[in-house]
Amino acid sequence: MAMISIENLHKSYGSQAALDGFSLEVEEGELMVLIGPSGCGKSTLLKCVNRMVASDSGSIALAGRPVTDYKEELLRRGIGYCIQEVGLFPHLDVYENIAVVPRLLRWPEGRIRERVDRLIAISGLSAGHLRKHPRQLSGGEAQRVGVLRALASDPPVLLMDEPFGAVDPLNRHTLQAEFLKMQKELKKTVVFVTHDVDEAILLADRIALMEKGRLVAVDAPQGLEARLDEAFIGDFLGSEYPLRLLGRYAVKELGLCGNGAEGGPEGDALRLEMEPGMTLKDLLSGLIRAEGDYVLVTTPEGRDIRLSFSDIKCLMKGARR
Amino acid sequence: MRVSRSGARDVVGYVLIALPIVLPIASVKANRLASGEAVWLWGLGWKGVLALLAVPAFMSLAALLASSSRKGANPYAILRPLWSLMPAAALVAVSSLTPAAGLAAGARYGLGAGFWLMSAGAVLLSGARRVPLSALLLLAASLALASLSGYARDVSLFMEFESRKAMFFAELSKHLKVALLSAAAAVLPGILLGYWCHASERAGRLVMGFVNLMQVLPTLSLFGLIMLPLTYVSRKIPLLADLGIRGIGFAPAFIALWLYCLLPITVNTMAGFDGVDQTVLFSARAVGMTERQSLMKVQLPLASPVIFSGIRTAVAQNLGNATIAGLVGGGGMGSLIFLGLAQAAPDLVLLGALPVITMALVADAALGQAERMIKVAVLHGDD
Amino acid sequence: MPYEGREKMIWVRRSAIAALFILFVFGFKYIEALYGLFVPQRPAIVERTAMYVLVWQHLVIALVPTLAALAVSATAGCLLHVYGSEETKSLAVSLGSIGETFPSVAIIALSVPVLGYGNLPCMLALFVYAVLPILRNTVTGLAEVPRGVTEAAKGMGMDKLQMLFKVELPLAWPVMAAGLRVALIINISAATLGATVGAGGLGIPIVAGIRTYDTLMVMKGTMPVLLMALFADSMFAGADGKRSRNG
Repeated sequence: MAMISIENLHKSYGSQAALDGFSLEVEEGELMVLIGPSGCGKSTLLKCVNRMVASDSGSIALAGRPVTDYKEELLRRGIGYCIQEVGLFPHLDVYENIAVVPRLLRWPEGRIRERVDRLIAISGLSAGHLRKHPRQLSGGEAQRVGVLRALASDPPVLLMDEPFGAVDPLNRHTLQAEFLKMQKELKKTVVFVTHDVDEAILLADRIALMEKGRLVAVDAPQGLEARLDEAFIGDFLGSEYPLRLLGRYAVKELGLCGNGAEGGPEGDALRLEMEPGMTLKDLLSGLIRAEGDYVLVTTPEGRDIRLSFSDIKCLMKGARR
Repeated sequence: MRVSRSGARDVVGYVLIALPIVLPIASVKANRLASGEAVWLWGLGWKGVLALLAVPAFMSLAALLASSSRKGANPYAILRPLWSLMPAAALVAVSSLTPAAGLAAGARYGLGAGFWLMSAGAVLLSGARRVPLSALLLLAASLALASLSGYARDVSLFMEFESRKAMFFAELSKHLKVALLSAAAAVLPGILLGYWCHASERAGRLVMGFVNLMQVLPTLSLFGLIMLPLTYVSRKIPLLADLGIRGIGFAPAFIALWLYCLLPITVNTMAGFDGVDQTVLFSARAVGMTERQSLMKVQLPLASPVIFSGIRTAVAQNLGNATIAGLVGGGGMGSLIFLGLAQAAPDLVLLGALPVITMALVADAALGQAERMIKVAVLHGDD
Repeated sequence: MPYEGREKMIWVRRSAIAALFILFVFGFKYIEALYGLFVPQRPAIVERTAMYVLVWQHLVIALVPTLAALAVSATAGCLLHVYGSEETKSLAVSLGSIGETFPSVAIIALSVPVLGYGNLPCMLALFVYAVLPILRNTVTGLAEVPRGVTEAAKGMGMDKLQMLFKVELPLAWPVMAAGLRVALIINISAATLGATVGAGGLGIPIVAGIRTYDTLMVMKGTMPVLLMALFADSMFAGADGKRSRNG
């Protein structure tokens, strides 16, 4: 049974239809990225899930139970919600901000303390941040606190509305990597809204593409590549989508043995050190820069492996299986 | 010399302090109602001049020290509040005028323009940006000490005080009672009313219209207009008369002052709640707070500095307006003032007016300090 | 058209206020008669001064200090803006705020020994009272003129004085006018306090009414004051063109 079941959701503001028969199923532990042009209704959808906005018709169910079964406040205490502006409480310090929902749930003090410590440990923050106030935090730090606040009561579902949109690009990469790491450990059911295709490619287990309040396509990122010929999908994802997709496959995970000959004349090859976080996209970029037809990758063990374009395509196919 | 960063304020202060050179510092009066003969700085004799120069000399020394030591705490800045000792020192200086045999019967000293302006200058200099509470307390303490030790014995203001002591303290307590009690009684209704105005647009417009009307209505009129209905009501309901609620006296003053207090508290409460960031409100709902929890845990704390500012305005305003209570039989410092005006006795007027001004200033300073502390506590920063 | 409609509303309001004013000042005996129907036994008080004389006195006591404060504060504000630093500006504003913290009754009472009884102490207090709103608004208004406009003016070759009179003052005028409005309205009602120290004006019937427990007498002084203040308020609403104080 899916964790989140959305069926035929409708919501209009006056004569404008924000959601026009939207349906989607999100599996437990899945990170579903909701993407689409601005005004397509993705934020409205999120707000319908935690009932910040009341839908006109259709149903949303969490773990089988309709969200309308619960009292609004109680529902929201069981769902984590992050927004772009973060919205930390300025009169509370970081600790108290994170502890908001546990306090509403009347957790004992010791349990709250433990939970906050554990969350700080898996985030990019330090214990020294706990006593600071929101005005003393940078944009990136504030957003991290926002994420921790959403996770504090250990909710099964996390809703995130362009949380990293207001952060500068450098910090954004860090936040995305951190979040990915957290998600690998916590395995929450996440609905993540963004308009940034690269972010979707990086984070998503599946991508749901929306247009004008309806679901256009939902598939794993590599699955959508096959549908690039369809008008809207191609327009939105862009013809360079396959290229961007390469950024999803880390070189380390794929292993290089069996692909490409070892060693080789250095003359016209580009030498690359294999670094953590290196992706197939980086390999392709290296290939473009190289004078000749291949790159030389040095593994941490010290081996040199020679890769040409067809080797990279081979790796790509292997990643998709 | 490196004295402080508020140069302009200091310049004004220094000019004022130097005025006794050109303005009379005191006057000798033959009796209570006579206007006096001016006494100038040089007429004070060496003892008096010494007393006057003591504080400026000491502070200049501190300033020199400060300019020579570049690092560490600025001794001048720390010692600043000591300027407020000057008025008391001046009193001592004036007392040195008394010949060994004492003054003629009924004769006394009045305090001249030089004294008052110099005191104002001293108070200005006692703080870099605003008059600190410590300076005000030092001022009060030093003056009290000087009076109690008898240095002010022959000053006409003090003699007036001596002869009217009982009345002074009785009226002072009435004044404080009616001003502070009515302010306290207006806090809760004011906050509730203000919240209602914030929640309902119609109510907001209605109340703002009423507030504007109250600002236009003369204070005297409000006091007067409450009297007749109150008299009528207290005659019809004997219970009220038994409780002491009559058309004149404490009751109409209390009610009028209470109404005047509602204004700033209501307006500020409304502004405080209106000023809470929409995103924060949204977050409060989103994490699952009920309306009541959002109000108590988020909106109220965030609005509290502004609300408190309204309370501070109300209190300072009340301490001033309570003076008019004297006209409706409510007592207070106003009684002294109007009595002094009727008798053409300027010292009595002064005896009534000075405490009012002092109380208003002290309350404003003290509550301003409290307001800053609240801001820091709530928002962890002072801006 | 909504704008024309609002213009009409303002003129209707002003006419209503003026009509009521004339009634209260010149036709008070009708009000008295009406009142007498409801409240019997009113001690008859011999009128010493005609109402219109009191109104005139009141206007003088209220308007002269306000206009003087306008002249002084506006000039001071302009000087501060052109020659002053942030620090002197804040000093001037905090000195001006003395007018707000010091109770006006105290100022009036304290100036009696110096200025004697009568109109002068009251006018001094009203002057002090009016300084702050006008000064503060002048300083703020001038400071809020958009930098782009002043830069453009400087670029055209205007010197500081020309910029002040041709660009900054006209743009800052609405804010200054708001300060003048506040000062004027407060002073019109505060002028009543002068009656306690022998000044003329509409405070006389109010104080007399208080002393003799005569509400009608109090109203006789209060209503014209209220109406004058409301009229002054609506004068500004017209000049402003956009908003009235309440909206």
